[in-house]
Amino acid sequence: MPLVTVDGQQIEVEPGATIIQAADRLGVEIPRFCYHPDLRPEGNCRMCLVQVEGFARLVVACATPVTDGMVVSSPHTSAETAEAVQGVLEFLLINHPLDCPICDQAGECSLQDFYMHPDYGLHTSQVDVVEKVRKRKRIELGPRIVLDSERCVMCSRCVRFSADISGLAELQFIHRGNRVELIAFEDRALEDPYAGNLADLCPVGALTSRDFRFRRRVWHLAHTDSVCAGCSTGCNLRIDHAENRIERLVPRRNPAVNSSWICDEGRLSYLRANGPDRLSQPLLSGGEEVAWPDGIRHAQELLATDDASGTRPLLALASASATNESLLLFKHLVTRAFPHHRLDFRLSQETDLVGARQDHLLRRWDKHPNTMGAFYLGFSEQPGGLDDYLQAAEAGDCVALVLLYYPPLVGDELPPVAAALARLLELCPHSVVLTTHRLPYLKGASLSLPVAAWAEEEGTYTNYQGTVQHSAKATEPPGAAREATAVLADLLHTFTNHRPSTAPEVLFAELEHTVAAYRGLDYQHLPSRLASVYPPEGRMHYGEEGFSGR
Amino acid sequence: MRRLSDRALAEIETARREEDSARHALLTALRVVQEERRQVGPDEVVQIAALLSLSPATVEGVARFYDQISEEATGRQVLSLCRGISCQLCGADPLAREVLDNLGIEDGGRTQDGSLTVRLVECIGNCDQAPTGMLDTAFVGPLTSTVLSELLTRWRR
Amino acid sequence: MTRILTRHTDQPDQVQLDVARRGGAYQGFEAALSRSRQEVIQEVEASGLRGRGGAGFPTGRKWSFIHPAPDRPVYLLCNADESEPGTFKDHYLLKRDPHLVLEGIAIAAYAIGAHKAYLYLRGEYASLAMVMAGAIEQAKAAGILGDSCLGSGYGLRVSIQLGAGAYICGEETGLIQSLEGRRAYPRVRPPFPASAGFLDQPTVVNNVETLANLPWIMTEGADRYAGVGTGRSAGTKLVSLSGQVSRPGVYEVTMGRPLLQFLNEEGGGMPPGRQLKAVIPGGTSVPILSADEAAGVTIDYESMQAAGTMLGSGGMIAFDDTAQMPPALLRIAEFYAHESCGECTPCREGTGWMAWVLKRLLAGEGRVNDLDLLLRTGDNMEGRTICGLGDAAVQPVQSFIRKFRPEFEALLPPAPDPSPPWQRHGHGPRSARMGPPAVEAALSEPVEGPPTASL
Ligand SMILES: Cc1cc2nc3c(=O)[nH]c(=O)nc-3n(C[C@H](O)[C@H](O)[C@H](O)COP(=O)(O)O)c2cc1C
Ligand code: SF4
Ligand code: SF4
Ligand code: SF4
Ligand code: FES
Ligand code: FES
Repeated sequence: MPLVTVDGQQIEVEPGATIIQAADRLGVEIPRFCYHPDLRPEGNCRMCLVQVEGFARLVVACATPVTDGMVVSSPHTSAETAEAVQGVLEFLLINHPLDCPICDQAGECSLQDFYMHPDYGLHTSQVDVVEKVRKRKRIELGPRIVLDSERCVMCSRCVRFSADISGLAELQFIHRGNRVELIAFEDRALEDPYAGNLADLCPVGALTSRDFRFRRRVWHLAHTDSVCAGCSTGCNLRIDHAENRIERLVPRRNPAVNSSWICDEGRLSYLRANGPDRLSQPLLSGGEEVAWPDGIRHAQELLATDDASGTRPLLALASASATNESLLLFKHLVTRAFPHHRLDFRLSQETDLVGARQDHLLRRWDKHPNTMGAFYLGFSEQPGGLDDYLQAAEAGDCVALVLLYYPPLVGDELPPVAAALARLLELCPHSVVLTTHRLPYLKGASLSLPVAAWAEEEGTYTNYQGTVQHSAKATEPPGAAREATAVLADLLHTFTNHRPSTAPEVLFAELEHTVAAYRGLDYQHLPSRLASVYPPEGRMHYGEEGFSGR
Repeated sequence: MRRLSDRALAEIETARREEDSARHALLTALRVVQEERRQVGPDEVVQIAALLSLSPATVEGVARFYDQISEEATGRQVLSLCRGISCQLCGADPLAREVLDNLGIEDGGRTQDGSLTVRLVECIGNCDQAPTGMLDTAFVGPLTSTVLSELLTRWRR
Repeated sequence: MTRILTRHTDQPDQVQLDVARRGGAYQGFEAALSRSRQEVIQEVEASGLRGRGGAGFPTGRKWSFIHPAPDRPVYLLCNADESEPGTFKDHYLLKRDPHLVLEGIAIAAYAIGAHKAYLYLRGEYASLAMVMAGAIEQAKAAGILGDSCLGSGYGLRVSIQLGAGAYICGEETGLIQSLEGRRAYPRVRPPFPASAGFLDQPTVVNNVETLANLPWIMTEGADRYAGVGTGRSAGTKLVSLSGQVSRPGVYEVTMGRPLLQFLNEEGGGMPPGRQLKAVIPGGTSVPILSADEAAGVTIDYESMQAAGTMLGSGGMIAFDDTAQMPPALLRIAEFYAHESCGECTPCREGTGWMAWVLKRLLAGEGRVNDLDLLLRTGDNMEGRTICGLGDAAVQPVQSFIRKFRPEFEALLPPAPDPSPPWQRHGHGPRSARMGPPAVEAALSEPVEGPPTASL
């Protein structure tokens, strides 16, 4: 393994690693525009020039592989390098518009940051340009993205993303020299379902998000690291929020899951999670809102009987969008309080396709972030499915129903399962539904209890690969809505007289203890990839007659 | 959309078979289309993109890289006058000015009847004939006022 | 002198295969085929042949980096993009002895194990594509090219690709990108073309003239070739002579020939009544030499380097004493600004900026420190770009200004008057700028520059 020294610090890296990768691992910040860890290096911006002992010329750190014994000096320690970087900055400013006060990128602009940097920033510039090359400004490329080509520094990150990652190659440069300009053919709206990433990866304010533009200056935002709950991929992301409102979601890099990207639907999933149709108070079927103690009492009345067991035969359904911790308590409730029960998570046909891809990049057909979690927890012990339960109910074999439900955050507003759920609720006179939203197809519930949505509770999801990931709490649930674990703990207490802990780490410790697949995992060190990945990517069969793939 | 001729399509197809990558045929396709249509504008870009299974932006990016591929249609003939350093040293500048003024156009412009485009170009690799130029693909030079006006009179006819 | 490249270029009908063969065409290829490819590489290495495309890299060494593998086809790309201002030697060879070039291609392809070669011709050479296509057809029909070249079992196909007008396609990785149907944005190295070039396969790019030396080396031997020329500059060089000189044209010159002698004899000296002021010896990308500097220089790699310039492409441009350096430099700077591909920051912005500052200077709107600004801009570009165009663009600007500074200074506005305003003479504020008429005057007055040498 080659050993390299950067600014006096040493590190061993794998053969083929570049200088910038070594420096990043050492925490030595090398300025860059064009380098991106998940894009093919192009070495065009020349910001990452570094000095290497024994080399006549400066080299670009982003495209120069490390060789054993290499000694590198960055602009932080080498005057020659700092001067070169200043030179590059000066060149970039020749044709850069003086837009900063009105630029959306302000606060997140690499050009601005580098310009101010104490080691290689530009404090005096001799360049006084009278005529800048004019280019086009404010071109709307579809609903997501606005292009201001005058602000572009031609780093080609977006071009490489569009051509190599999303594959549609919708962005390209035209012309040559300082007339080079970024375009989408005929200013067409981008069709890329991943277009939102363009605004994230643009180092300056040339490609910005229309969703976020001018909403809030970035320095007012708080950041919370989490994962997306839009589908079974579980892309890592960061929730930017302020005043209990999510303002935007941006991808967080995880090479094992989502590289540096998220899809546009996932990016906007917070809008649905925080939608106006949230349930905020326990609700009786007649439309009467009640306080929590009354709500829990109603639940008890609905599900209890006078016979020896004390509870009715129960059909217990939980959406695979619930966290592992909620599912654990849900399972405890069902198995401990209801001797006659059927427990299932298979609410929709999409679950068949837990591993199946919707496209070549990230999106999956299964819109539940935790299908694998439900599976590992043994939520589908018996063969069967929603259709079977519906048939039974139609046949008059009606039982009590508990449903923990989260509507999908991406895709069709009306999930395929909606009609079946509505019918089931219609047929069951004793139904308790824990839900985040007030949904037309859940109207038939005898009792609806409001629970926290994604980003309003802490917990874990197990993605399609079997990777257990941490989903964080960024905002408070609306009104009287509470975390599902808290509601389930109340119900457990009501039916069993025992109140479990709702602390996620305690619940996760129990999961670790009881679920074979999670043995050895540590809540403090998620996301972790499970040693055995089941099922292999592709379609999933479980139960004999179970869910055969599409 | 005006469709490309069968001859052009056949030429592009031949180039396409040359290597495993269809993309490789793009440069030839641009040349073939430029010759046939005297331009590679949006219509042409879309057709080439479809033929080679490339995105229109990709084709546009490559087309707009080259000086000999033009977005706007050129005249039936193109007179390229070299403004390279060797030609400049031999008096190319006033000569070019004279031609453009006589025709009443600017660099890259087309005559009123649309038949001739005049372009000032960088060194064309014919510097021993300076000041030199090209009428379409034929080198002409050394150019003088007389030679040029002779050339233009012949072209007018 | 020994003629290696121009033995048959004056032969009428040399483009015809039978005529060319009577003159010995393809005997070098035959000789190569009778040896192993390693032996051919060794022979070329021993000859001392260096690349004639501008960089002067030893040809045999370049080939030795190629390691053919069964699943990795090797490509030979013959660089006929020839767009360096003042260069037209490849034009000459392609037009007058296409079979010589084709034979060179065949020998190189055989040596590196390529079964496919491309001739990349600049778009402006469309008329030469006809000539070369004819030569290829004839050679195929005669069994020289094809599935079994000259019956040897070695197969080679040669195709022509015409460019479409962009200087950067002559840069080897720009050429590869162009050939792949991409914007001709040069590639950052490593990887080098020898390991990942055209279609990411092992690739060699060689200049037309480089390849045209090979038939002679194959028939006459490396030793004889190494014996022509001087020191580390073996063989002959085609010089394309243009500008202000009596007999412009392409001449084959033995390495080591004194530059002024060449200008006077082959070139016929300056136009009547004029004297040499300066000469660019190897295309606009190399530093200009004042007539004084040119006096001691010989035409070879070492002497040029010692004089602070380069042999480059051999595109020699003569300036006589009527030449005005500032507009000439502006023209050259505009060329680089026009041709910079725009991929990397220093060249994209630097070339445009230098041309803009020069233009402002010539328009009479220069700033006092513009010349230093131009020099400093060059320092910020040199050695910091992806490809050689950035460095190339700096050479003329820095050498013109350093060597002919008074001509440029005459365009500058007068230094600001250090005396306080109330002590100044005249009426109204003094203009810091110079109007165009003053520039005209400055340009038409004889300017004191370096003394001109007589030929
Ligand atoms: C900007 C630029 C333009 C170039 N143009 C040419 C050219 O037109 N023809 C050429 O043979 N080499 C050109 N070169 C040199 C090539 O990159 C390459 O070195 C050469 O083709 C290698 O061939 P050789 O080793 O036979 O000289 C150019 C280099 C640069 C940096
Ligand atoms: S728009 Fe942004 S990402 Fe794209 S090339 Fe320009 S600066 Fe880079
Ligand atoms: S691919 Fe799935 S997990 Fe990733 S951002 Fe999109 S919806 Fe969310
Ligand atoms: S140096 Fe100039 S021509 Fe070469 S890659 Fe950079 S911008 Fe392009
Ligand atoms: S980050 Fe290395 S050149 Fe741009
Ligand atoms: S400078 Fe005009 S042809 Fe070369």
